[in-house]
Parts: sequence; structure tokens; C-alpha cells
Amino acid sequence: MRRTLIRRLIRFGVSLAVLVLAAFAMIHLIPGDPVRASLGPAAPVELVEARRAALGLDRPLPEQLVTYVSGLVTGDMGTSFLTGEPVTAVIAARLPNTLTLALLATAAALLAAVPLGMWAAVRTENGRNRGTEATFGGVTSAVVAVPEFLYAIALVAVFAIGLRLLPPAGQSGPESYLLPVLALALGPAAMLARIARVETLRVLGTDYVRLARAKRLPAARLHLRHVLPNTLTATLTLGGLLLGSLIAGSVLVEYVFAWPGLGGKIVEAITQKDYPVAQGVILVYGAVVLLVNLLVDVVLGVLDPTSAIKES
Amino acid sequence: MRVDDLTVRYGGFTAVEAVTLEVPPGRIVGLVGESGSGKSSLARAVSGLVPHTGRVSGASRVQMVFQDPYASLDPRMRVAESVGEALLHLPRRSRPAEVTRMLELVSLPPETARRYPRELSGGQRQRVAIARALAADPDLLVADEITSALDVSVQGAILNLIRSLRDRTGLPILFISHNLAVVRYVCDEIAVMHRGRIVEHGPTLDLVSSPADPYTRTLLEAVPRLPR
Amino acid sequence: MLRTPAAIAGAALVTLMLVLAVIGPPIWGEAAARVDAGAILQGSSAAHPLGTDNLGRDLLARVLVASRYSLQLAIAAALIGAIAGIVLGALPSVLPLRAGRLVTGTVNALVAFPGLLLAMFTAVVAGLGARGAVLGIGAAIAPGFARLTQTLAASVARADYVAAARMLRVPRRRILARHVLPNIAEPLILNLTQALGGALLGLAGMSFLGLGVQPPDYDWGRLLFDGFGRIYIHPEVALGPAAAIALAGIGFNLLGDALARHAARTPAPSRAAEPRPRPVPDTEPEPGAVLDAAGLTVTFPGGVTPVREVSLTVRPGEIVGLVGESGSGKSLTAAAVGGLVPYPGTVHHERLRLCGEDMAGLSRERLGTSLAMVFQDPMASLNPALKIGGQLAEVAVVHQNATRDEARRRAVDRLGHVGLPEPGKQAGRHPHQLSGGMRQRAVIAMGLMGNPKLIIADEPTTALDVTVQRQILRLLRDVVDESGAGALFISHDIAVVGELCDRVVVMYAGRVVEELPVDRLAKDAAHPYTQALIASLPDMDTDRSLPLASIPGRQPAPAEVGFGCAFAPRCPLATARCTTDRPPLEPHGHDHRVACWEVS
Repeated sequence: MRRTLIRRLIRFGVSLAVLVLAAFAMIHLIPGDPVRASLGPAAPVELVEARRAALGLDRPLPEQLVTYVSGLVTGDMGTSFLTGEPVTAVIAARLPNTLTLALLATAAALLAAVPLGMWAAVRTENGRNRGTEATFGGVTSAVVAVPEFLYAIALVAVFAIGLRLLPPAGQSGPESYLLPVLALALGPAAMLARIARVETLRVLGTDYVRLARAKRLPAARLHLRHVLPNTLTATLTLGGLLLGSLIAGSVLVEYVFAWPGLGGKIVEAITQKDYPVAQGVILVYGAVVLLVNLLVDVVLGVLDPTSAIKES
Repeated sequence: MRVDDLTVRYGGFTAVEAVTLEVPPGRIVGLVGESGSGKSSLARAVSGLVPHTGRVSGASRVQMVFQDPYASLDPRMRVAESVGEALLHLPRRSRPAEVTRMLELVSLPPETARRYPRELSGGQRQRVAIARALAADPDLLVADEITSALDVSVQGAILNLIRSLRDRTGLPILFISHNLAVVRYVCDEIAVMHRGRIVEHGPTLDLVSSPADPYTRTLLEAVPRLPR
Repeated sequence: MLRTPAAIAGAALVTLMLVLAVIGPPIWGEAAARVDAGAILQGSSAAHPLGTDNLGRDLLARVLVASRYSLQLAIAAALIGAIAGIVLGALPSVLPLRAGRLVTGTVNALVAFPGLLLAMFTAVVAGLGARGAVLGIGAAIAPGFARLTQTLAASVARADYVAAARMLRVPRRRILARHVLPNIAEPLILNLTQALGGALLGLAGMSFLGLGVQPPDYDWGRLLFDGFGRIYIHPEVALGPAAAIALAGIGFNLLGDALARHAARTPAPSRAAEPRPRPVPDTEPEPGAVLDAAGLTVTFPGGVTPVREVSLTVRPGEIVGLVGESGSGKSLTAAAVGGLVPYPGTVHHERLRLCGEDMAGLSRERLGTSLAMVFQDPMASLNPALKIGGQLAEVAVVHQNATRDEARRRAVDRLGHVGLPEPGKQAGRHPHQLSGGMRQRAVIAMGLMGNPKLIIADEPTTALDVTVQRQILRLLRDVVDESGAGALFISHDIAVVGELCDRVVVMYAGRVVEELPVDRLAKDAAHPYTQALIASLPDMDTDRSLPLASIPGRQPAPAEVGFGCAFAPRCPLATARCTTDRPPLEPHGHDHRVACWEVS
């Protein structure tokens, strides 16, 4: 257990280092002069030179890397080309909104998907109720296939513009969370439900469930005590990975709902060529994803002793 | 073939420890032991499939037949192609005749060459795997639990085949099995493995009738017998 | 392949999209480009069902025309991603060890990041526009492909047939070309279909954010970007491109699912109605038997009948061995007795009684406490998530109204009874902390929690070493002797049956062919199949100078069993009558029954 934890931490550290390097390299990989590209061809040479000097782009590369990394350690990620605000402040103001959205959506997806997938598995075990199986498969497959920004647009069109029930954009009261969370959770919920069904079917086919059936346990006890706990490891692992992907995947939904999170900011930064902000936001997105994956592994290692054994 | 001081380690775990073993020409040497005794690791080390320390001498062209005939034949290759892979050094035109000869050696009809593994029964697949090994003109054949995945009624034919191969070709064979009765029937000598070491090695009838090592005795007592 | 409505819908949608991509631009290209200053920014009308854009161009025509560009970009991105991914995934098997590890590590790190993040990173570097977006989506697809290639290649490289090829000194290039690539190509091509759908949606997303296609070019995402700004006034202008994207995504996903299912080859069983088996001549019920089954038949849809008219009795204190080769129906017979035949199998019987009572009429509690089952794999028969003690106590709590403490005390007592050292400590452990033999003991202890009348043990020692097997066989004998229960012991190994059982029942192709006391098995077995089975099994007294017996041919599958004796094609004694008339199971001396024309 302890050995796996240490190995996992090392992996996290290496990934984080690679991420920092990539973020640093991003500015330098941009063909031509990023400052010139950002300020436009009409900007005077002196201004461009001054900006380059301010960014430290005129110094040797290793020195820039050292400056960049030590800046990160002290929480300095540079300032926005557009507004002059510190990037750290921009991110600090917006990251919580993005995290809240992703967490709520993941929770919603798990709560809907696990019971649905289990129900479908129990109903379709060994190929009974082929109709249910085909419907479940077809519907979830279709729901997974529609991207979240289309759900977002459709929800806005129906509930905000058509029925005028809910706010179309922005973050105001609790009701303003409803549509973005729904748009973000629908696809993942369908995917998780499929996985929960497959996992449940796997567990239903094991000898220990056969043995539990031979003991003539009531259905509720059989499913809740013998089946559910054994499906959770796989489902929760994926749920954790999902949370990671939703944090960054919320960009489009945030854009549709003008949500004051990181998503809107990064789109603006990329289109306006505000490179320090783009660099900072991508770095933070990546770091949060890595951190979430690490946490999921640790939590599962504590919850499920067999998975820890398997890895060692 | 001779193995001197052979050791196989996986990470911190020692599967085979300082084993010395000889397979004389024209003999079938049986290797028995329970799961985790290291017998399969020893087989794979002799076949060059796992890294090891120690010396393997007198066998440069080792061929192995695996336990599961369903996994040891490429599902996308016809029998002729699978067996033919051992004959790549021959000109393309003379390969089919050689494949047929090998199939005959394991008592399979020549038309088997055109079949895919999925069209064959377990026993037939195992014969194909043996034919493929023989086609490479080995100087040692390693048979790793080759009848464990087969039904009893098929097992007998494969065991007879192994014995007749020795009689006809003089090929030395290292025969690995967990089943002492099978090993007793097939092998000229038996080596008993326990926890990575060979605890006893001797001619079959001597070892079975007067085992010296206590573990060998336990193993012999545990063999299920039909009341006669 | 196109058997489900979902698959048909997917294929239809993808076909529609391909057709549109081909015929769209030539047919509607002109309408899509026609500027009309008099019809700027209109909503839906008869002339323009989806409205017009800021130059008065017809949006329906533009959506139809955009299908070609959207698809082209998606194909480009998917191909870039797939090729980069396959190269990355294959590199480790070609590069030196250290460099290979570096590539693997990089791929593993990249897979952890969401695709959109990689796409945006690439888009920043490559600049705004279609080129940046295609590269970005390609970069997002590549790590998944690389990982898939790696795992597939690694699993093939571990296969025995690759080990065999390596021993044949087949050159590495040839192993890669002949063994590895053909066996991983199918799943990779399958994944490409899904990647194509993903690329299409990803590119639409990038364009929708304004990061992808830039005017004057347009794809569906760009049209949605333009329409979204006007959604408060004319929601319908966003509808066309949104519907196009959604349908294309659904089409590719449904088709990908159908292809994957086809590749996995899970044929749906046909649902032909089964005729009820004809009634068998009644045999006398045996009073006092713990198990009394007659005419037990298990059928599956499609005329498959793996168990046919099996009659079995087990008396108290008796262990009956049910022996047969794989496919003989012995395990399904045990499942039928235990009431555990999986759907869609159906069980018919003349009589199925437990201690004289019809099993169908017994309550859950009675069945749960009087039947005990033991399966082959002790690693799999205990729930890994629950402690041993809790799993044992369950029966007492659920069926016997025991309190938690009582149940636990009884569980510890039973664990001690089956010879687990320190039973109190073991009860608090999880299954993975016990060895295989100990787990099998715990499973047997579980059966002893109630008042077992019948113990059904399905190959309980097959997964164990011989020394452990011996202990478990002894334990089973002790348990039966002590509790007075009867046991049905299923095994493929006639020697094990000979060692443990009182009576042996031999099955072949779903039927009982012989039944006799074990002590007479070696001398008096009459059926040619039983004799061959005994002769082909080497034991410690087999004459080594003679070749072993073996039976030519193979056992027929349940669907192939014909009219006569199923063993006739392999039987040395078979006559013409054997192939047309099935011999009944008839008495052959005391306590001995045989189904064979030639011996009875």
C-alpha cells in the first residue's frame, strides 16, 4: 500500500514536471514573435521591444525557465497582455466556479448512472429482455454521441428562451446552476450507465453471486450487498477520470452559458492572443486534472484493498 | 542437454533456485511439482523465454509445446503457415511437402494443413503445435502441461504420441506436469520440484516405488486412485 | 451485422452524411454563396426554412454544403491522430528499451489529459484557423490510439503463439508483420470509426468557440458560432447546424457500436419455441433419499438440449459422483438440481424432490439452509468486498432470524469445524488474504451454516494442488459422515470420484450412460464409454509397456445429438441398431444400471 502510494506520487511529480515544461515551451513554440503576433503588425517597434523585455523573452532560454518556475512557486504567472491583471488573480477568481460546475456534474452523472446501469443489467442478464437491452444500448449510445455544447444550446433554447423558466446565462442563484450542470452531465451519465451495466453483468456472472443465489438471499440483499460494492471500484475509477475530463471539458458549456469560469477566459485568451493567460489557464487545468486523478487513486487504494494488492 | 545452477528471479521473487538437471539423449525426463513450484519457469528458462542465470548447455535448438493449444496457435494463420514458420530456411516450394511430413509424424491427415485453428479440436491443435515444434528440428523438446487442457479421452493419444516420438526419433524431451500418474506413465526419469528446487531426481520406477524425499512421499500419497 | 434498429439508424445516418458530402456542394453550392442584401439576418420563412445570415445567404443551403468541409476536416484530423498514435504506440517495441520506456511514459502522461486541453494547446501554438484545429484534434486523438496500440500489441506479444514463433527464430520483423499486426488491425480500424465521429464533434466544438474554421470558409461548427449569437431572436438559425452535428455524431457512434459488437461476435440466440420433452416412463420414487430427481432435462432456445432425462438419487450420508468430460452436461445437471440454470435455459422434470418434498414448493428459507453448494474456483466463489465472517453469517441472519452476534459466533464455530486455524481471526479477514485451500474450506463452512441436506460440489478440487485436493476430499467425507447430508460431487476426473464417492454416475452427451457403486467401477464397468474412460486414465499402476487407450473422435455437441446412442460413432461395439435406437438406462445386476444394447 505504502509502496504503491509512493510510486503513484512519483508518477504525479513527473507528469507535473512535464506539464510545466510544456506550458513554458508553449510560448516558444509559437511560430514567429508572440508579442508581435499579439500586438499586431501596426504596433511600434519600441512597444514590442519593451513588452519583450518585460516578459524576459530577450534573455537566454535556461534563464527564462528558471524565472518561470520560480515564479510559479511564488504564485506569479505573469500579467495579462490585455488587461494587465496578474494571471494568478484571474485564475483564482474563476477556478472555483469551474470546479463547482464539474463536481456537481460528476455527482449528478454518478447518481443517475449507477442505479440506471444496475437496473438495466439486472433486467437484461443473460440476454433476457432483448428489447430493453437494445433500447438501453441505442439510447445511451445516442446520448453519449451528442456533444455537451449542443445540449447546452438546446437547453437554453427550450428552458430559457422558449419557456422562460430558467436564466439563459450567467451565475446568479442556485437555479442558474441547473442548466449548465445538466448539459455537462447528460453525456457522461449515459456513458457511465453503460459501464455500470457491463460491470454489474460481470459481477452477476461470478461464482460468489451464484453462491449467494444458492443461499436464496432476497433480491435486494443480493444486489445491494453482493453486487453493488463489487461494481463500484470500476465505476468510481471512471467517475474520477470523468471529473478530470469535465473540469477541462466544461469550456464549451461555460462559453454557452457565459459562466464566469476558466472556460470563457481561455477562449478569450486564445482568440485575443493573450498568451500569458492562455499559458496559465492551460497549466492550471492540467495540474487540476493530475491532482484529481491522484486523489482518485489514493481514495480507491484505501477503499479497495484488493486493487492495492493487485498493483504491488 | 544439461542445466547447471540455473536461477530465475522475477523482481524480488526467486522462482527457480540453483537447479541442476540433465536430460540425456533419447530420454523423457519428467518434471513434477505443484503450482508455484517453479517448474514452468524452469521450462521457459530452458527455452530462452525468460531471463535467467546459470548455464544451459547441449541444447541449442529448444522447442516448446504449451499448455493451452487454443492460445499457442495464431488464430489468423492456417496450419500450413504456422508449421511453415519453422521452415523459413527452406525454399518456398519444398515447404508444403515438409509440412505434410510433419503432420504425418503427429498422425494428422495432410488436409489439416489447409485448416484454421478454430476448425480443429483441442487434441488436433495440440498435435499441430507438436508438429510445428518438430519442424524446427529441435535437439530438445519441452512439453509444458500439454495435456492439462484436454479431456481424458484425448489425453491418452497425445501421451502415446510423445512416447512414440522418443522411440522413433530419439528426441530428448523435458515433460512438465502436475499429474504424477501421467508423468509416471510417460517418463523415463522423474525430477520433483518444490519451492524452486529439485528435491529428488531418479529413474521413474525407483522414485515411485521408494521415494527418498518426504515431499515426494506426500505427493505420491495424494495421487487419487481408483479402488481396484 | 445490421440487426438492431440502432445499427441500421447509425449506418443510415453515416451514409446520408457521405452522400451529402458528395452531392451537397454541386447542388446547393450556388444558393449557399448567393448574397441577398434584401434578406439579411432573417428568421425562418418559406423561402429560407432556416433563415439567412448577415449577407442574406440561405442557411439551409449552407448547412447542406458544409457537410463536405466538416467531413474532410474530420477525416484529416482522425487520420493524423490515428497515424501519430499508431506510430507512438508501436515505437516502444522497435526502440531500445530505455527510449521505449520514455515513449510509453509520455503516452501515459498524455492520456491523462483531456483531449480538449491538448487541442487548445496545439491550437495556441499552430494559430487560429482550420489548420490549427485539425492538428489540435489530431493531437487530442493520438494518445488514446497510442495507448490502444500499446496494450493490444503487448497482449499479442505475450501470447503463446508469439513465444512459439520466437523459439522458431522467426525474425522480429516477420513476427511484427505476420502475428502482431494482423491480430491488432481489427480493433484499430474499429477505433478509427469512433475516432472519426470524435474528430467531427471536436472540430465542431473548436469552430463553435471561434478557434477553428475562420470566414469566409465555414463548417457546421462555424455556422453554429454565427447562429448562436442570434439565438435570442431567431433560435431556428442555430437549429440547422446543431442538428447536423448531433446527427453526424449519433450516426458515427451507433455505427461504431454495431461494428464493435459485430467484431466481438456475440450471436443472438434464436428464439424458437421449444417443444416440451416427451414424458419418460415413470421410475419409482425413492423414499428416504435426500435428492430424488427423475427426467431432469435442460433446454436452451434453438433446440439445444445439454441435459436429457437425467435421473439421480442421493441417499443420506452418501456421496454420488457425477463424472463426464467437458460438454457432457454434468455441471448443468448440478445447476438444475440447485435451481441455478441461467436464463434462457429452461428446466423440465418428472420429479425433483429434496428429502421427499417437491423442491418447487419449498420456501426460500428451507432451500437456503438445506442446500449447500461448492464451486470450482475458490478464488472466485467468495465475495472480495466482504469479510469471510460476514459472508458466512448471512444465511443465519437472513433465513434463521439469528442475531448478528449469534450468527457470527456460529460462523466462527463452523470455520473452526472445517479446519481453519484461528477461526476467530480468519472470520475478520477478506477472501484475498486466504490461500486457495483455505477459501474452499470457508465455502464448505458456509454450506454448513444451515442444516444442509444436500451438498452440491461442482469440481471443487480441480483448481487446487493434489496435496490440497486430498485435504478437501477428506473434509467433504467428514462433513457428510457427520451431518448425514447427501452429496453430489461433479468431476471430470474419474480417479478423484473413485477415491471419494460411494456411487458413480457417468454422463455422456447429456445423458446418464452408466451408474454403479464405486468399489465395482474398475472391475464391473459395463458401458464401453466408462471402460474407455477408465482405460485412458493413467494411474500409479498403469502398465507402462502398453500404449494408453484413447477414444477416437469427439463427443457430439448438444445440438448434434441424434436418435441413436450418442456414443455409437466412437464405440467399438456399435451395431446398426445403436445408430437408430437409443438404448434405455436399464438395470444390469444389483445397484447397477447401463444404457447400452450390446451389454444388457
